[in-house]
Amino acid sequence: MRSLISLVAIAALLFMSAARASEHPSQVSPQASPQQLSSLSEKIVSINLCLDGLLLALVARSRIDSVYYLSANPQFSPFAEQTKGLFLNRGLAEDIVPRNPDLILAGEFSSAELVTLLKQLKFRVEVLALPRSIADITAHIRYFGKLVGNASGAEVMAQSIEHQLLLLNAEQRKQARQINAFWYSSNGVVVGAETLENELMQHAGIHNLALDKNIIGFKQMDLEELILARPQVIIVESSDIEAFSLAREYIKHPALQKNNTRIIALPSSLSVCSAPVLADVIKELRTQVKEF
Amino acid sequence: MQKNTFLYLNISLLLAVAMAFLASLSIGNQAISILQAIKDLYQGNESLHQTVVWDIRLPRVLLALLVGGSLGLAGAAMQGLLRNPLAEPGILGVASGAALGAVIVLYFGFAASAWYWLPGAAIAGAFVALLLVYLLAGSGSSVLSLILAGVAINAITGAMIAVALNFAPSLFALQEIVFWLMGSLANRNIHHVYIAAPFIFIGWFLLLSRYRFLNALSLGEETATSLGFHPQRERNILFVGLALCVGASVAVSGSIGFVGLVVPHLLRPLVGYKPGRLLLVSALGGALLVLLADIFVRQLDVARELKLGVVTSLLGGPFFLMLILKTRSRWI
Repeated sequence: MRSLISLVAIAALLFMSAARASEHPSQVSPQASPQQLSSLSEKIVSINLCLDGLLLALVARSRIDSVYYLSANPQFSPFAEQTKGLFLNRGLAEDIVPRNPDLILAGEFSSAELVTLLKQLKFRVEVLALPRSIADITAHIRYFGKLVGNASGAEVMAQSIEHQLLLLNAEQRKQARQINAFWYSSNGVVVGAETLENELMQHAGIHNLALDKNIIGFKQMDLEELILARPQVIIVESSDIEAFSLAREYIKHPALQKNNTRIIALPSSLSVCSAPVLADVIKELRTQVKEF
Repeated sequence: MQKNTFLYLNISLLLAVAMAFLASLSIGNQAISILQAIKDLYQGNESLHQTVVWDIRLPRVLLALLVGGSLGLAGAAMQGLLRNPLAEPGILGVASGAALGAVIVLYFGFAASAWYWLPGAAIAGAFVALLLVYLLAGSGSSVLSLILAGVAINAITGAMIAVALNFAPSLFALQEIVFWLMGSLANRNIHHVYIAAPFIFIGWFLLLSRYRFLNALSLGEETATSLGFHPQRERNILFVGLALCVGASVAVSGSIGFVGLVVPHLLRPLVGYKPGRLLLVSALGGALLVLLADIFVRQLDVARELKLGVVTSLLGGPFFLMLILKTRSRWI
């Protein structure tokens, strides 16, 4: 997932955001009720990869007018198949305005210029703050459900996540051994405190070595420093379809595999938009660590 | 007497390179003992010392040596061949031609099919750029027309690199244009050494073996012919050697500019202005310069280190200006 976030353009698209602000805009909080809920939106456009994922899961296809173009690219999107037949927008006003949608969903890092322009043109744009913690996610899903007029569907999804987390928490208490690890992303970025990834590691019973180095949010780390911290496990994000980039060469450096360090590769279906598959990510991490 | 000076110069450069090599292996972000690393390697123990020194630092130091040597040597050879003091792989667009070849095969997935694709494409790119410079400016042409040909080729290849990266499937691609235009040795591993080294060695051999021709050429093409050389054949060999050196280097390090300009110029007076003798010392000098520049960039900001080419350009840019001022009177 970080493979995408460290790219500024992509940071705009993801649920699991690169920012480390701890204050959340009011849109996510469950108390804030979305306005204009009286009429059900019939022509919804999304300009965010992860919002597309929720949209496809919670809204009838007939009401989805367009999704973000990256959602159709299997390199980044676990739900690329489902976007077939839908109009793909590139996050440009020219793509969106002529379609005259009645609801436009944007992430907090979507282009601010585009959002301002669309609002000036009197479109209804909802900018969703992206979750930074596990607690945020269920609130985020419920809020999303209300926005698109499927509160009950979102409630089922949120409750199922909460239920799975409860089960996982009970299980975790039995686990004794702590594993030291880094979450190592493209461009040599490690994930520190106040991030969703860090919380996922905690839930999987993994100690994040970045915390010992007082890293908050995301930070590039020198490979030597990483190796000398003696990680037992290095978590990387993988993809079945991988296009070359120097950024991705970082996580393929042969030095990572020395000294009995184990690499855990999270498939893109678990790492790109983690919100709906939270529990699966934790389960996967736990299973992999158990084998260790 | 002069022969001795040449020998001493080579030995002192070699010693300096060896010292820089060891310094580069020992100085790093983290305090690590090389002795311990050597011991662990010898005893077959897998240890953190060994990983840091042999898997992280060594590839980088070896590449600095290979790439620096290639660029210094290529600069000296181009200046001798084109009989032009401002000839250099970076300035004349040969390096960006190589970068274009590398970018196309890497980012569009061709390089994954076989190891030789990456250096092969970069070498082809360097060769085409070199040929274009030669056709545009010709041998013994004025400094001005050579530089202008270089500016044009640099502009075209630079733009084509941007276009290729723009359409590359990876979303990281466009950001990485800095690597290709500026060059860096960060995060390189031993595979990069393996794929570049064979081509670089052949290139070195071809260039160094032409020292007699370059000496003769400094007296003019006719004199060289009368001395029994076949200029066209010799030139072709030099072209191939240059393309191999520069292409294979750029394929693994991006284009690191100005090494080929600064080093031969500094060393030329020390070898009695003989183009043939300049070759070997420039290779050593280039290796030294890139090794030192690489040690320097690692001291500034460890994780987001400065690109190597930035340092060499900061050194080489003013130097280039100085050369222009010095030779200006001869242009008109």
